[in-house]
Amino acid sequence: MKLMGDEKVVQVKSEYDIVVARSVVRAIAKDMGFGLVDQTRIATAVSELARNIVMHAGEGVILVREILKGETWGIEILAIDNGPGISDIKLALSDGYSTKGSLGVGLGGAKRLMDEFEMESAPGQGTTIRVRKWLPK
Amino acid sequence: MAEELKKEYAEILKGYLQSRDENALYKVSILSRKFQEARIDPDRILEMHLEVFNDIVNGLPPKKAVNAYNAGFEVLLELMMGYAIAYREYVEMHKNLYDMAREFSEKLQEANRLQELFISIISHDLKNPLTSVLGYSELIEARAEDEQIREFARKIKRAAKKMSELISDARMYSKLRQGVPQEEFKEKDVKEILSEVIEDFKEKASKKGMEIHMKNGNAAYKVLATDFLKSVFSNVIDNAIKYGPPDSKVMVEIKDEGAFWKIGVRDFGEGIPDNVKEAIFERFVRNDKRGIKGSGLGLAIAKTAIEMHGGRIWVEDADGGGSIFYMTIPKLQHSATDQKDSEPANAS
Repeated sequence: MKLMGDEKVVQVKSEYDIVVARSVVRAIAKDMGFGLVDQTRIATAVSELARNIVMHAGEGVILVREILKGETWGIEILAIDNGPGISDIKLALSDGYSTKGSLGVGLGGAKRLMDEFEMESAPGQGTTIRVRKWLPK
Repeated sequence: MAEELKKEYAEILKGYLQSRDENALYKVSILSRKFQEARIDPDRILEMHLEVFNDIVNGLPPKKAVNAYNAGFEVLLELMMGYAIAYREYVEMHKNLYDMAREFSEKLQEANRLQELFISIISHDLKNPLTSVLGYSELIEARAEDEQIREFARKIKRAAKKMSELISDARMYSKLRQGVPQEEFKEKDVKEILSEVIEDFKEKASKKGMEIHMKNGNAAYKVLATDFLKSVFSNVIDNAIKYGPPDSKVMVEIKDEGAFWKIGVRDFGEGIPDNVKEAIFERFVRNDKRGIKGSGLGLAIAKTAIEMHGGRIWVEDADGGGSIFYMTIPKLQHSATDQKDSEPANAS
């Protein structure tokens, strides 16, 4: 796996930052050649990751970068926070799960929209979520 | 709701066509959830989008209209993407609820099964020793020379009888709950059953100076019934005697109510307060425990049994005091000898 080019970092603290993160990610996805439907998938997933940060951790960062695996290009997004963490990852990923009710699509939705989804979290340790989407050839 | 959402969507779409602002797309993504919550169908959303979009671009020069068309598509895509996810989440949530309900229902069935088993065990195993208790207490009552000991023996006997009735009730209730096989339903005459019951209770009534009267026509009151129907009538008439004042009457009446026979049993007791008129048909609820014998299962048994026969039981205040217990039972429309294959209980 190679990291190609710069990575973009968006500080996420408020709802406004969610829009910025979406915007940044969408621009990169568009440049990379993702179609409109995939762009929308990726933006919606980022929207969810960023919302999760704002609602559960208060603040955090979204990192976006292009990656290359073999001959396949992809976009990788990391959502990192130092919030309270999630004790039950399986539950958090189940559809219909939302600890604060107003959560948009839930992390389960973000997982489904992307090709890869990894999550590391523990109570008091914060949460890191990594999602990837590969560019169709 | 749909109109408000349409308006909100129109505002956002209009804004996006002018600014191409990511914020608008974000708002649409949030709005999509509301569309799902309002149960607006996807085809209706597409229609709504076109209506709103056409309103906005109508009159724009061709080149601008083409650009707007693409931008509008982005907004629609955002809306449908969010909608799809919210919908999936909705389905999953209901699936989870369904699984939970099914699991709960299975546990409940198991609990019921254990309860039935328990009742059947206690009813068999407790009846036998009780027979000894009853027998020996009678023996003591007959042979003891000390009057106080005879009185104790009578108390033991009374308590043992009560316990025996309670066990019989529990067994009957349990049997009813398990369901009665179709072949136990036989052609019977309500009037004949009631006459038998009245005959059975004549002595008990006369001990309180009471009389039981029955009013009916000469018709044959045919129904399809099990032996439980007699228990229902016995129970209600027994209650009327228990709760009626000494030297009063119990009036039994059969009426023709279309597809049903309606049986009324009236007493001249204190009546039943409105707030317990339904509760007395539940298990272990009794209007007044003081001095009244019974298990508290009697009316619950009556209700379960009468419903099993396709009828109802309820109580009303009688004019001039007291209560009337009403029971309905579907008439047997065709005599069983005419049409043996006809569906029996379905009288209506």
